[in-house]
Amino acid sequence: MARYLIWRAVSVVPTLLGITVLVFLVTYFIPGDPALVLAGAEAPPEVVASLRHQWGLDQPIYVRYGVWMANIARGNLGESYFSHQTVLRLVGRAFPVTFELALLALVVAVAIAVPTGIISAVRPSSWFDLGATAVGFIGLSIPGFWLGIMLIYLFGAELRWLPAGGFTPLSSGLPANMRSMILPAIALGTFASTQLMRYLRAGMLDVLNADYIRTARAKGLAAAMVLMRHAMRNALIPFMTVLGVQMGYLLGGTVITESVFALPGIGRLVLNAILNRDYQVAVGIILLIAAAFVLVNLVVDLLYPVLDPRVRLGQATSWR
Amino acid sequence: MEKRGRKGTPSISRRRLLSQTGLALAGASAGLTPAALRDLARAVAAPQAAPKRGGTLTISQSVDINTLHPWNGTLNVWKVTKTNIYDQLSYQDPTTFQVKPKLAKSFVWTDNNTSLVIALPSGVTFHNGEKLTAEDVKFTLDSIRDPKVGSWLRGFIAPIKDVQVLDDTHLKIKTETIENQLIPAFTYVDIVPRSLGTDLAKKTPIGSGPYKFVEWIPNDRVTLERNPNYWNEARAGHVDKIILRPVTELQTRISQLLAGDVDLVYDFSLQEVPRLRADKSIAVAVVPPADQMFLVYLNMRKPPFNKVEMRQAMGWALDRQGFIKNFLAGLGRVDNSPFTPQHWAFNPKTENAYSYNPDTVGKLMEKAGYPKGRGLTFSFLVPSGYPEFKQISTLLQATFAAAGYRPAIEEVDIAQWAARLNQSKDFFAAVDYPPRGSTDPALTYSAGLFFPPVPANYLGLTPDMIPGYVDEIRKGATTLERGTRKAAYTKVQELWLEYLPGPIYCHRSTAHAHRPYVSGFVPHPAFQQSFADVWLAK
Repeated sequence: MARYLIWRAVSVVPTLLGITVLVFLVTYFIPGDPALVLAGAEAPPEVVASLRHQWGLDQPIYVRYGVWMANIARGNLGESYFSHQTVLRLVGRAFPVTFELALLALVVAVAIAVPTGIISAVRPSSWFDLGATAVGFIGLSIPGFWLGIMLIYLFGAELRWLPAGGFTPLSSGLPANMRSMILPAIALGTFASTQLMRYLRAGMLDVLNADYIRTARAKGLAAAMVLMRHAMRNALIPFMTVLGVQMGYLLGGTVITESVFALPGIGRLVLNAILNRDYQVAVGIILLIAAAFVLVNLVVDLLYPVLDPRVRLGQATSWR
Repeated sequence: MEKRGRKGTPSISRRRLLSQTGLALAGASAGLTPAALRDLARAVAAPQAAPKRGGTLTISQSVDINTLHPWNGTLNVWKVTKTNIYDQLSYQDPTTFQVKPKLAKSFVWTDNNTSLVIALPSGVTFHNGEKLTAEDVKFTLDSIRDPKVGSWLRGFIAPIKDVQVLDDTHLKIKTETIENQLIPAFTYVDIVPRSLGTDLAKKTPIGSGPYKFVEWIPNDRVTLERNPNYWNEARAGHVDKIILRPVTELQTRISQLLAGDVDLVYDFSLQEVPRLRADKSIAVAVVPPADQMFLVYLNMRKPPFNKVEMRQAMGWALDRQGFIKNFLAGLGRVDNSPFTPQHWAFNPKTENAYSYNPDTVGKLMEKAGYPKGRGLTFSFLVPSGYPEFKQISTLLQATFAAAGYRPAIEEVDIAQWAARLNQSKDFFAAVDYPPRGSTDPALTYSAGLFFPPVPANYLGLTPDMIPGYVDEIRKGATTLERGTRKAAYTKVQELWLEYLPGPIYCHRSTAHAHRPYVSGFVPHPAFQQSFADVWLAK
C-alpha cells in the first residue's frame, strides 16, 4: 500500500511538469499582451514597453519559465500583473467558492441520479425509465448558461425566493450562504446528474442480470436486500470512479455557471486571467486545477478496496 | 423615478433645474425619441425631499476592474470607480458636457499664453490625512509624463513642458503656446499624494475624493465608503457605502435589478432599453448620443484601403439608420463627424456627407480597380463580447457581398484584437466606438485615431497624407479665439471626409437603469461618473 502510494505520488510529477511546459508555451504563443490590456490600445509604444519591462515580459520565454519554476519550488506561484495579489491569495479566496459549488452540485447530481438510475434499471423500459431517459437527454442538451439564466429569472426576479446571482460567504451565515448557492448548484448539478444517472442505470442493468443476483433471488432473499446489499454495492464501484472524475470536471468546469451567477470562484478567475493575458494567474491556476484533478483521481483509486474487497492496492490481484 | 408627493409644492434647486434643462436640450438636439427624452428628464428630475444621508448603493457593472493604479487603467468600470475616490483638476459636466474646474479654483493663461496658472483651494486633505498642495499636483503631472510610469494619459498632457509650484495653492504649467487639450485632459488626471510614490498598483488607493477606497475582492466587489471630511460640502457624498459588483452576464444583471438585489445597473445593452422602460419598477437613464462614435479603422498601409475610393466605398456601405433602429433600439444618431449638432465645433456640411448607397459602393470598387470585387481581399477584425461591432461588420459584409466581394469576419478576443491593431498592425478593417466626441475638439483630435504623428494611429495615417490637416488641428488647439477654432475644426472635418481614413457612422447613447428610490443619479457621457449626488429615498 505504502509503495503504491509513493509510486502514484511520484508518477504525478512528470505529468504536472508536462502541464507547466504546455501551459507556458500556449500562453506564450497566444497573441495579445497584458501590458496593452492594461495601458489600452491608445497607449504610446514606450508606455507599453515600460510595463512589459516592469513585468519581465521582455525576457525570453525560457528565462520566464525558469524564474516561474524556481518560484514554485519556493512555494510562490507568482502574482497577478493587474491586482498585484499573489496567485495563492487569489486562489485561496476563490477556491472555497468553487469547491462549495462543485460539492453542492455533486450532491444535487447524486440526489437526482441515484434514485432515478436505480429505479430505471429495476424497471427497464417502463414509463418511468423512458421518461427519465428522455429527461436525461433534455438535460444533456440544455446549455448550462440558459438553464442558469432561466433559474435566476424565475426564482430570483419573478418569485424572489432566492438571490438573482451573487455570492454570500459562509462568514455571513450558513442560511444566507446556502441561499446564494442553491440555484448555481442546481444549474451545474442537473447537467452532471444526467450523465451519472445514465451511467448508474447501465451499471445496475449489467449487475442485475449477473448470475449471483439470480442466485441471491433463488435463495429467497428479499428484493430490497438483493438490490441494496448485492447489486448496489457492485454497481457503485464504477459509479464511484465516474463520480470522482465528475468532481474533477465540476471543479474545473464551473466557468459558465460562475459567470452566469456572478460567483467569485476559480472559473471566473481563470477566465479573466486568460482574457487579460494575466499569465501568472492563468498558469498558476491551471497547474492547481491539474493537481486537484490528479489528487481526486488518486483518492478515488484509494477508495476502491473499501468498496470492493477483491481489490488490493499495490498487489497482483488473484482471481480464484 | 421619484414619485411626486400629493401635497406640498414641488421644489427644484437651481443646479438641478439647469441640469434638467441642459440635458433635455442636449437630448432634443441629439435627435432622441420622446421616450428617451422622458428618461432624460426623469433622470434629473428634482427630488421632493432634501437628499438623505446613509444607506448602501449597490451597483452592477459588466466587468471587473483590472488595476488599482489611478493613471494606468483604461477600463470604463475603473473610470467610474476612481472618479469617486480621487479629485481631478477639472470635470466634464454630465448635463451640458462643458469642462469646468473641479479641484482647481481657476485656470488662467499668462506669460504671453505660454503658462497656465492653476489656483487650488486650501484645506483639502487626502484620505490618509495629508494636506493636498500644489506639490501633489506637480508630482501627479510629472509622474504621468514619465514614460517609466507607463500611463496611457501621457499623450493627453504631452504639451506640458514643465510644472512649477508657486506656493501651496498655485502652480504654473509651462507650455510653448496655448494648449486647449490640457484643461479637458485634466478631467482624467487623478491627484495623488506625493508621499505614495508612483508604484501605485500595489497600494491602497488614496485620493481626496468624496469616497474612500475600502477593498477590492477580484471578481466579487469593490467597496467604497463616504469620506466624512470631504473638502467641498456641495459635492460631498450622500450614501455611506458604495458596492460595485462585476456581473458579466447581462440577463443576470437585469434580473438582479428586477429582484432588488442591486440598486443600479451601470451601462447595459441599448437593446434592453425598451423592455426595461416598460417595467414600472425600473427607471432608465439614457445619455444622449454624443460621446462614443461608431467607426471603422481602415489600415491604409496596404491594399485595398491605401486607395481612397475603397475607403469611401466603406463610407457608403453601412445602412446607419437601419443599424441604429435594429441594433441600438433607436438610441443613436447618424453622423459623419466626431461631433453632434449641439457641439460648437460641429460642421453641418458633414450631415449626410456619406449615407447608405450600395450602387455607389460598387462604382467606387470598380474605380479602385476591383470591378465586381475581382482581386479584392480584405476582412473585418472583430473582438468577441462586443456584439455591435459584429453587427456593423455583418451589415458591411452584406453590402460588399452584394457588390461582388464577401469579406470574411474574423472574431478574436479583445486582447488579441488590441494587439493586432496596436502592435502587429495585422488587420484590414476593424469597427470600434472610441470616446471623446463630446469634449473639447483639441482633446478629441489629440487621440491616436485622428492625430497622425501619434504612434498609436492604427490607420497608418501620416501628416503628409492629408495636406493641411495637421496644421488645421494645431490651429484649433492653440488659440482661445472661438471663431478661429471653429473655422479650423470645420476644415478638419471636411478634410477627414474627403480622404476618409476611417469612416464615422454614428454616435451611440449609453443606458443605465436603477430602482426608483435611487435619486440624483445623472449619468456621465464619458464614464467619469460621480455618485456623490446620489441618495437613496427609502
